[in-house]
Amino acid sequence: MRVTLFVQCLVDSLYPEVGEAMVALFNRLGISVRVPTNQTCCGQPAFNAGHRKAAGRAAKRFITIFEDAEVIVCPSGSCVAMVRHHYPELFANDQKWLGRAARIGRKTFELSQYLVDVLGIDDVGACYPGKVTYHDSCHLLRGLGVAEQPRRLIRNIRRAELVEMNASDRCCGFGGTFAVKYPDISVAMVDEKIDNIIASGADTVTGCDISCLMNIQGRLSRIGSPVKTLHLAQLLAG
Amino acid sequence: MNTSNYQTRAITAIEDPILQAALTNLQQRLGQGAADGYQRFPEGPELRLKGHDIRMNAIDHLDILLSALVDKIEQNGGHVHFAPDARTAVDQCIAIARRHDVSMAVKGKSMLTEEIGLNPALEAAGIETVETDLGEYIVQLAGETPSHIIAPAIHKSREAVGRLFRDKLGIPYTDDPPTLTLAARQALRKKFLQADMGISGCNLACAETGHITTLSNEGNIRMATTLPRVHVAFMGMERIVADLADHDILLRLLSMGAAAQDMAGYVSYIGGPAEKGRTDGPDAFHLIIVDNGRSRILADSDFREILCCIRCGACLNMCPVYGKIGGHAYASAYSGPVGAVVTPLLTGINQASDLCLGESLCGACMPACPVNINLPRMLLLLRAKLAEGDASWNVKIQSRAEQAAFTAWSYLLRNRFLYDLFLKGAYLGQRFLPGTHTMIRRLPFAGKDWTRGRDLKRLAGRSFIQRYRSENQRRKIK
Amino acid sequence: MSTSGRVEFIENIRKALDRNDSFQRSLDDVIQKEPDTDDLRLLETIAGRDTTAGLALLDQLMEAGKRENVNVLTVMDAAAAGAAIVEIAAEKNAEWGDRKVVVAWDHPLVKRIALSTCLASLDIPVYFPDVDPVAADGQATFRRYAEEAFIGVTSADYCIAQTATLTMKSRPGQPRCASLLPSIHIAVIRLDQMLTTLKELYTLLKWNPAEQAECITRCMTFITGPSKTADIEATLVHGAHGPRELFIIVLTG
Repeated sequence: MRVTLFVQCLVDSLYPEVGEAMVALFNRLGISVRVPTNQTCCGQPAFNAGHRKAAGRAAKRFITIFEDAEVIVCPSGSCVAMVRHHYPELFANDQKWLGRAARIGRKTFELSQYLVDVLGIDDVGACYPGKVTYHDSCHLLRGLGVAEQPRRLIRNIRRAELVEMNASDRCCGFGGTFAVKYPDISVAMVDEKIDNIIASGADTVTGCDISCLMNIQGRLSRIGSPVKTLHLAQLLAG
Repeated sequence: MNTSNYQTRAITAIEDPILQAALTNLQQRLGQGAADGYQRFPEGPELRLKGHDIRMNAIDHLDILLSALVDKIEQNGGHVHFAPDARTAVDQCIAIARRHDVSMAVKGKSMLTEEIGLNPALEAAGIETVETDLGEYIVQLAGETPSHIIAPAIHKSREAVGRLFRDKLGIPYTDDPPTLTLAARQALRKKFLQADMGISGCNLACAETGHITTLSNEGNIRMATTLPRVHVAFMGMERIVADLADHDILLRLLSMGAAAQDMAGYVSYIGGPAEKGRTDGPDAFHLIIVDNGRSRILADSDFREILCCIRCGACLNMCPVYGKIGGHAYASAYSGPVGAVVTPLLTGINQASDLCLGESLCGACMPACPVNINLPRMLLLLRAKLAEGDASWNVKIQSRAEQAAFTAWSYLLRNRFLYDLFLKGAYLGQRFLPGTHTMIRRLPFAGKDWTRGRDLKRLAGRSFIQRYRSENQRRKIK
Repeated sequence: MSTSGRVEFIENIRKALDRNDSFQRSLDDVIQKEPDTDDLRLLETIAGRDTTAGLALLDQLMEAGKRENVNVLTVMDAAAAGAAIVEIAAEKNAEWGDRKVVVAWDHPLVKRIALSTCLASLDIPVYFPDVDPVAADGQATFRRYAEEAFIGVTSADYCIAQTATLTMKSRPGQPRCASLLPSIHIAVIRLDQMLTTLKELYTLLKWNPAEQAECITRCMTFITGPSKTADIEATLVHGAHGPRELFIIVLTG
């Protein structure tokens, strides 16, 4: 039984430590891992911005690289939602690719969903001293229905205390190209998120989507806040 | 019309602490209130899915339902007018007013009449037109436009209303909402009693019985449709359900979505002028059914779903973008998530491009909608048309440069070697960008919009894939 | 004029829906024509309600009344209803003029209360609308009194316990403005006029023979609570344009 990792383009280029944490985590769990080294991007940034032809090219590449895997695990809820929900849309008029897209969607999972729902594990033997608050990423929560799984995992991290923030399910304001096309609105939204993070008393904010965390971390850094931003995988690998 | 002021107005709204507090309060009360309310339905929140089916069924049989409605209303002595566009609808209303010697009309809240520009046209034709929904009345006195479908004056503080009433109604300044409401109650009662004509919208017509229905909490629509001798009702052609059983469900969904209520304060079924032998009610009833771009939406099976909308505002009450920028940024009768879809489809996708692109696609609008409309799906489709052009909707590609960039990117992705080279180049280039060891403070070109408010993590020296590859090679050598 | 505009308008819709000319369906093809077992069961339940069931609904109404700001009063008979109305009339002030005036429906249940007699003790005149024939200026006269009135007394067709909603069709002698123009609306109903849910009302309207025969009339109104608004800073205020207080008097005897 092998898990094939799709690490996500942002993790690959900006947050490789998250990918490394995932590998370390699966090693600790005794689960064999393989990483296709020609992977790049699922196509979501293009799709969200309306560029479906470009997204289609990325999608076909993803499918070609990953479709022989037993199971694909990804640290990003939005990428998994892209594969499961939008790949069939992209290939709605292409019978050949539509079937392949449907098949791969069925075996692609976000990390916390895979651990808790598929493997039945909610305690990975992790340790992290700190007050942790969890941000519900939009696609993970509303696209995949995942909310309880990350929380169960966090509650079982030794020495970590899970503190819920107000409106944890409210969008952080990233939204892909929205963040650079409408920066004032985006920053106003992330400021509201950060107000809630700070009000929760947490010293660490975590989540299952590095794009949200990149957005939150970027603003936390700009305002000089000591709150740490860590992906769930990093907490679980600790 | 175009939405080029979207960002500027958004910034004005974001920097207005009174508006921000009002929007937060509104979303907590109504948005969360409705979400909790859906859970309390005996049928559970699944009732929303049933509502969706009912509305889609009505849209799919719109010709049949409208014909049945019109037949019954005409049998009951009502007049029905058909307006393919805004200009015709407005002209029809003015003609009716002239025919009945109308010099003053009272209005219930109707976003459709905002859409077609009714008020300015009536005023230009010499017909005094008085908004009677308190929020609309405030907005009319202030010479502004409404900023929310259900709470039009949400952007005005009590102090601002106090000053407005002092200046326009001549009452002593007060910021006490009950006192201000009482002043409006007294001022508007005179108008109701004197008005020649009452104008309303139509929340949901019922084809089986031959009635339009109107909802309010204030009682102003009842006043406007009972006291004056003429009643003119404007109806978007899609605002209809087939029968009473459908109406039961939709009425409950609408009451909850609009104001987190189990039942709206006043619901009126109106099927024509008052009958013979009655004591009160209008002598004449005119229904103006408006198309104004809806049949074009109907013809597109991808967008037909937006016609299910019952204009309750629930999506506005959940949207984190609306919650920051308020309604005026949308420059349209319809703001929030529904506005982001329906306004481009009614007025032009290129012209309203900021509405298609200016939200984060968080998806909170769909579970907020009492009839479960998949707004995110349609927003994504609108973006696709802007990005790649569309002949049937007359959409020009919005940015060839962006299209070229994504095309290049999609080919780059297919070659990991080139991709790694690109990452390497970016890594080397970023050394010149100011910031700390780990975070960039200022990005060039398009990136500068990110770094206006945020830092960005520096690209890693070696990507995850590179690290994994070399780690594997190291293991193999061992 | 309406006819030709109609043909094009509907044709446009048919084109958009991709209907071909042979596709001629009517409303009857789209809606339910016969009651199903659930409908029949519900009709039976409603018809078979006894006093105990009615009192249980009354409890629900009182709960809903608290939520919706409706004053629900329970009385044994018409005389007690009259006494309750006199108490209200004595306590409340006129809003739209100097004198206290009451308007009321010409309705069997309201007539039993003998309002004019009751309120004579307070010197309060009660005006009823003309019914068949309606005098030449009958409408205008009643309207003038309704504009001045501080209380409007009506009955209702039904009262939905779950939401404290009164439902009433427009009929001669039962003017709409009686429940709209006065500052206070008092609705007098019998216990057996109570329904549980809106669904029961709609089921009756659709499948009950008497309701089918009458149809919905030109105007049917649902009233839930007094007039209210929250348009200024989302602060709830009662008494926007309609009555600012609502009383439902339920006769249990």
